[in-house]
Amino acid sequence: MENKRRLFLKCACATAVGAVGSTKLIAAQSDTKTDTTEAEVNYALIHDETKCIGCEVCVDACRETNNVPEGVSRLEIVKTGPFGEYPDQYFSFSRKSCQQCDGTPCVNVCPTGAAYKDPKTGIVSVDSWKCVGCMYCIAACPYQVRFINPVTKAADKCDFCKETRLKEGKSPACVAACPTKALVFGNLKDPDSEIVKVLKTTPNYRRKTELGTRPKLFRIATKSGEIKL
Amino acid sequence: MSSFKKIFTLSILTLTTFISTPFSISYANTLELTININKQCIMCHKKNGKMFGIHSSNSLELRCQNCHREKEGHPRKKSSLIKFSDDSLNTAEEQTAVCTTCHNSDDLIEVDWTHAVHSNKVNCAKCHQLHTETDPVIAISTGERRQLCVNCHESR
Amino acid sequence: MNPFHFDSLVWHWPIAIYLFLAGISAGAICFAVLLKHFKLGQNAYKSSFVQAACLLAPLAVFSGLGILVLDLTKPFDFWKILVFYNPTSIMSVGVAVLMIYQVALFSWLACLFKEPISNWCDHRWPLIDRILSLLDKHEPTITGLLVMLALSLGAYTGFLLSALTTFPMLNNPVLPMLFLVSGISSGAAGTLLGGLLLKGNPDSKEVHFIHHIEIPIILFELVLLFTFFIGLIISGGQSQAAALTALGEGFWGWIFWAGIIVIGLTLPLAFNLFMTASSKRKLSYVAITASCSLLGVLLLRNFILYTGQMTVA
Repeated sequence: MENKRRLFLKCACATAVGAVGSTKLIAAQSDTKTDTTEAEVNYALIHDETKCIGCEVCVDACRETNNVPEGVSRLEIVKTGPFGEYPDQYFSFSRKSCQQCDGTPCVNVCPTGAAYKDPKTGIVSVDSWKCVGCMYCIAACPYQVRFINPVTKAADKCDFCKETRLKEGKSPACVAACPTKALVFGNLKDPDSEIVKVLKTTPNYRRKTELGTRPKLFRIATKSGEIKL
Repeated sequence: MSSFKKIFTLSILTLTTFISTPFSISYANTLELTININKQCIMCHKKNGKMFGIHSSNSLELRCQNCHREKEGHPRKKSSLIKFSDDSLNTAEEQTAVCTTCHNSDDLIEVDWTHAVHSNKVNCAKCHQLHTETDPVIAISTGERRQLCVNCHESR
Repeated sequence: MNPFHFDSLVWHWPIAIYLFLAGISAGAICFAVLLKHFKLGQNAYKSSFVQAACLLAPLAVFSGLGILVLDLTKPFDFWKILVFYNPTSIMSVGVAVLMIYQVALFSWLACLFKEPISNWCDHRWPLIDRILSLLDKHEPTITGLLVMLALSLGAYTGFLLSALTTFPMLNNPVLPMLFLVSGISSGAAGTLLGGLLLKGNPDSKEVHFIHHIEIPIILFELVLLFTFFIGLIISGGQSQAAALTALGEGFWGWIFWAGIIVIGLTLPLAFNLFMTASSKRKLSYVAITASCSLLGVLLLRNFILYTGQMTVA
């Protein structure tokens, strides 16, 4: 009996210590997360759906620039429609790619830290060497934009061309390729940047913000075909 | 005279076969196309009037007039002939209306969604050619296809 | 919708098997500990049911880990999970728990089997004697740790899925509890079945003890399942849609109502109550009850994993 009581006490103490330790860890982790808010650059993107024509030139440019194998895609344009009566019909186009969340579900679940947010640019990236391919991030992404690259076998997704064009000081491939200038890329921390000006003057929306993702892919809504309740 | 005509047609046909894509169906080789014996038109339009595309198939029993309408006073006096191109006197809407008498708009949209948003703005001939043996836009690569959008929509 | 292939599906059945095996391991070792402390004492290692639990726990956890590693797209890089840690990742924390759990598990097994081990060694290796006596001295600590780690492991199988905000059905606070409890009941079933295979007596006090615990566990599992789905339905929105898709007509609806509710829970509960009332246990009864229970838990893991991924937030 004496033994059992001692055992119970020991267990309780250990649990308490464990709980305190883990909350400390989580607190420490959330401290490091605020780092990007103090960095000088935090890249974001606007997809102006009123200008998008659904030509998918951006999709080709992305594939070519980032060597994305056939069968998978970092960027898709999702068409809905047609709305209205023929011949006065129209579609609406929605960009499906990494939303570059500030509160990153993929980074939070990655067991090895292969998914990370670059503290210098705020870009969510993948270290394909560290990735073991558990696919936890793919399941955790509410926007379902992650995939396993069939060549590297690692998780892959849009990184605003961080490893390709951004390094050369150019804008991302999709932004440069867009014939209608429907994509605006820029630094949220720079008050004079085009993106900040557009965001401050144009009504815009983001998807699934209720999940706490704080995405940095802003969208300017086109006239939609129906009012959804 | 007729043997000379045959040789002439044959040589044109072989030429078009070489130019056209390898997987095209050579209607022109195998069929005597009644549409091209249409004296009213071909008498003058030997060069620019011949028709080899899928619409020329004998089984369709199409005549030039089905699409281009009756010649009436053409070429000297007034006529209601339709020209299918950008420099036509007819609006894009009038031109597409001719095609959509047979082609159901729903089917067109199913094959390519862009039909839904262009039918009253762009004439069909902007992308499609019916007189050539194959319509060049059918076998186009996705890259070229996307470039077609850019050609018109590019903002400067 | 094809029940095994749909667009939003990321994790397939190997993950369900892994969760199942981790749960069995945690449950089985809990029962081994309980049997030793409350029923059998120092002679526990002679019982075929304790032996079965002690065999099942490490085997299940190893094969589960094996399946998990094989399911990676880069199986040979699995060591990176052990080297790099991310404290916010449930998977990373779970791997750490699994590692410590295995250490605690083998330490406890050494304590349990210290008599046969030292008899077999016959003092040939003084190091082993020293380790055994050291472990023996700390047995209460090891036992406490092991039980805590086993419970953590059982709950981890649920937390792993409930961390996914993408899927409203999985992102559910009841899920870890549900998986822990069903893991414990699968551990009980595995222990019983294994014990019978090792020629254990189906009317022994071990079986009585386990069955005695199994009845409230099954009832609790039913309550948890009820809370799980009612909670989803009254949340409305996509949570409600997810619950209704899962429970409604179709392949997985059948799996839930016939496989999990009837075969996995109601039948074992009925058999258990019947056996308690008649107070005479036959081998076939015990075996069938345990098999139903095991099948039910396996189906539950697959059901939750697949239907959970059907509806996106």
